Amino acid sequence: MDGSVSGGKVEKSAIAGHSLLQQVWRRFRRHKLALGGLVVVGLFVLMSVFAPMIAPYNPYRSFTRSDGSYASWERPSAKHWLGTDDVGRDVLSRLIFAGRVSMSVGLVAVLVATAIGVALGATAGFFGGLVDNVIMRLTDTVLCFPVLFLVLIVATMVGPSIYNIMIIIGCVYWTRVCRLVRAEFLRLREMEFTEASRALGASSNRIIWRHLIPNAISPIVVFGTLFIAEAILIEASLSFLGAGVQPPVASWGNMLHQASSFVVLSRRPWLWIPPGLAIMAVVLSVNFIGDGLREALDPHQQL
Amino acid sequence: MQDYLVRRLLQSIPLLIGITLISFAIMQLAPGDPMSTMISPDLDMEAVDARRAELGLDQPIYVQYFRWLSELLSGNMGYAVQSGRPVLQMIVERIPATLLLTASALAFAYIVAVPLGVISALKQHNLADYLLTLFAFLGISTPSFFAGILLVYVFAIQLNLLPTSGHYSIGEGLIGFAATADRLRYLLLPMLALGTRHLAQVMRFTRSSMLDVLNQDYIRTARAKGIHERVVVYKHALRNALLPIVTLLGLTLPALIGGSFIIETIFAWPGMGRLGVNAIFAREYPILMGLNVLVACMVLMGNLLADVMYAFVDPRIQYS
Repeated sequence: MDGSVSGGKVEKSAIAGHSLLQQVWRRFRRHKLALGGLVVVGLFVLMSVFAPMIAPYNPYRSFTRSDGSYASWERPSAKHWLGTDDVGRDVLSRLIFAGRVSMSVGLVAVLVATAIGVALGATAGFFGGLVDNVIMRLTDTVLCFPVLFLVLIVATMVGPSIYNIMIIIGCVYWTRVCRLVRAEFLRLREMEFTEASRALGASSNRIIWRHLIPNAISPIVVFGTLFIAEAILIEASLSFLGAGVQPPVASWGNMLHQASSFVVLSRRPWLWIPPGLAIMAVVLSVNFIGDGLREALDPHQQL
Repeated sequence: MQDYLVRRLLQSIPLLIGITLISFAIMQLAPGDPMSTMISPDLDMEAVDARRAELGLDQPIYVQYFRWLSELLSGNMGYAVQSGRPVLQMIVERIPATLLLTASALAFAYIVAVPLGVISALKQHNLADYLLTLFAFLGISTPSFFAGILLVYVFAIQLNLLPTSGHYSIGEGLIGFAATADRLRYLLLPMLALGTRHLAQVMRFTRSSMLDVLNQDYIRTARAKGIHERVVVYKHALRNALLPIVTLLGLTLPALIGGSFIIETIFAWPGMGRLGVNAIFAREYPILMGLNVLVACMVLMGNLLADVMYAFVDPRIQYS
């Protein structure tokens, strides 16, 4: 990376040049769509982080007309680039702030799902036997429920706050990570390096954390990335139905909820097309990144 | 084969028990118990307690579970809070509409996706493959509800070609062919909205499955023997590539049924999904629980069917 090194450091940097991360990055770069996706997601993340500075107005502020009534349903104009909604709030500002909610729900939900899935999958795959059997039957059972419906019901029952939704999606979505990690562990625990470290007297705990999980990390990362896309879609669906993130807090899903009114749907497309496109852009980009990561991390593709 | 069937059936018993356990556990998340919604200020607490005892709500939780389970097994899913109608009956009368919608979305997805997947595989790294891949990514990334309202906006509102919602024209008294055509017009948009995401998945799957098969030795053998390329592709390769697609059916069934909840709501399609979403806003817990158990069982059966079909069409599967 840094060219101006001298003496003993040269060798070190030469090795660093072939570090796993750099190899991955080199292969990832070749995937143009993934690179594009990374740029788009990066922009959306920046937009969310700096939302208060970027958004032209406060997303909760209702604009009023000179007669004191709400400046509702104004068409896109120089003042309001994407118009205003039913109580005169600036749609563009809400769209920018909604990105914070939608994307953080996706991210946290995936972290929760991955944590549960890795824990259960690792336990099942490493210990096998009855433990494995019980965990896998549990996984099969949860997989029988349509995710969306399960999330909908639980969210209705425990109350749809943003944090609840993050946790609920995570608690419902761990199954596929669990299966994946279990399959990896079944494979890895038979490998010679596992046998070797066991022969050296390593504890199960150490083998799992030091040897198995690092070796299983690539598929977990790929799946995790693709899950972010899924989780964003689930949150959007939930909020679209009105059972997710609740107004006045904006999420892309609940902004689209307005389109369930026929008048809004047919005459005020500026209210619902932008959030829909925002979801598509982020989810598409995340899917591209996931695809790029899969190609970059898959050892079979190594040239 | 028979042994395999029996074993597969036996294997689903713990899953069925698991489904009832999870559904029951979710029911416990609901605030209060069924009695708390019926208490009015002038009701005396002794009567409430008596009614609680009568319903078994004062019993330990596991007793309540077994009570509920035995009722469930005898076909009693409880009664809707508002209408007082049996939940099972309410759900069963909604099943045909949902089946029609999901089955046609599936059929649409497979009929379009398989040929496109084959083209994509045959023209790997060509423009066609590139465009189809892009289309597949778009399909996977578009929320079904956004696809749904976009379709309504374009085809029903702007072009005025198709109805926005419902499932047949009321009061027209159409019969015979006209009635069928009428229903098809209503089916078209929800089917497209529900099927597109699935289509994209099946297409990607067909493509990779086809690429796998095309690299097999027997394909090279077939080509070496001088068999016409078309025969190699469609007879030798495609048939084998299609086998794993059957398993995809089982994997995507829950997503398809979950998707129908949203699509049915958008298009006012009178199926289970719309019943479920309405029940959510009306806090009709008995309906939700009934739907939960029933839908999960349907998915379980779908998976079973897909596995059996797979074993049936692929002689390489070992039953032992």
